[in-house]
Amino acid sequence: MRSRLSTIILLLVAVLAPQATAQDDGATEIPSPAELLQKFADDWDESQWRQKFRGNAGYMRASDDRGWQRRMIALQQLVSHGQEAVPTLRKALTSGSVPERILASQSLGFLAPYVPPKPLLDAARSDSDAAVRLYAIDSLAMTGRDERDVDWNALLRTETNRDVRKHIEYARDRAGKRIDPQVVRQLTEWNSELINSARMGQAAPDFELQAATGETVKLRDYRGSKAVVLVFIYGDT
Amino acid sequence: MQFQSIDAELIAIDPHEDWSMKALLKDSGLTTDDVHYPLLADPTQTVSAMYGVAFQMRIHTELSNRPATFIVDKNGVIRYERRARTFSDRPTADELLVKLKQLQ
Repeated sequence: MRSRLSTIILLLVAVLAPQATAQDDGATEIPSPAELLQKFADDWDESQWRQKFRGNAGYMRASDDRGWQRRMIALQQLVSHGQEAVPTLRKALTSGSVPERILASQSLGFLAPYVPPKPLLDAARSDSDAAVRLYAIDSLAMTGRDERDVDWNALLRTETNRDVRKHIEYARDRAGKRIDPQVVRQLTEWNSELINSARMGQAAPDFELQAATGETVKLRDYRGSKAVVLVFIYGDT
Repeated sequence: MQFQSIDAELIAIDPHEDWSMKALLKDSGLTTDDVHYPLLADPTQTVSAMYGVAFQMRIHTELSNRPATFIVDKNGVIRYERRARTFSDRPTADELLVKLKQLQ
C-alpha cells in the first residue's frame, strides 16, 4: 500500500513539476496583441471563406473546421490584454489585412471603456470588406453609442449589404447599452484549455451562466438530482 | 413540460447577450414568463466552444453556434450528443424522451 501511494506521489510530482517551471520562466504569458493578430492572419485560410453555397446547409461550416477554435482563443487573448491592446487594434483596423481587420473590429467591442467611436465608425462607413463593417457596427454598439453619438440611419442609407444593414438595425435597437463587464469577464476568465472538450461517456464540462430571468444557473447543481437536456439554440447574429 | 415527469430538466443556451435574447423573445410575442425552462445567455460562446458547437459563418465569418443537443445524466456524464450539420438537423422531443427513459 505504501509503495503504491509513493508511486502516485511520484507521478504527481512528475506531472506538476514542468508546469511550475514553465510559470517561473514566464512562458505562460500570452503573446503580444501584434503577435496575436499576425498569427491569426497567417492561419487564415481565405479559400474557406465566401464560398458559394445553396440553402442553409452550405451556410454552416463543416464541423471539422478548426478556424473557430483559433478565432476564439485569439479573441480571448486580445481582450485579456485590456487597454494595452487598443492602439495595436486601432492601427490594424486602418492598415491591417482583411483577417486582421476582422479580428480587430470584433475585439474592440469587448474593450468598450477604452475605445473612442471614431475608428470604429470610420471602419463601419468605409471598409471594403463587409465582415469588417459588420463587426465594426457590432462593436460600436457594444461601446454604448446611441443615436446621439452615431447616426445609424445615415449608415443605413449608404450601406448596401443586406446582412450589414441588419446589424445596423440591431445596433440601433441596442439603444446605447454598453457591453456588460460581466460578459467581458466571461470571455477573459474562460479556461480555453476546455475548448471542444465535451465527449460522449465523459463528464460534461461544467458551466455557470445567467438566465434571462436573472438568476445564475450552474450545470453542477443538477448533479445527483436530475438529468439535463442541454439545447444549444442557433443564433444568426 | 414532459421532461419533468421523468426527472429531467431542459436547459436552453442562446449565443446572445441578455438584452438581445429578451428583444428576440419580444419579437416573437413572448416574455421570459412564457419560457418554462432556463434560457441561458452565452454571449461570448465560451460554453458552446467547450461543447464543440461554436463555428464561423461562411459569408461574414461570424462566430455563432450550431444547433446541438446533449443529454447529461444524473451523474454529470454525457449520454447523448447531436451537433447539427444543418439548421433543421435536430432530434424530436420523442427521441429525447426515449433516450431519457433508457437512462432512468
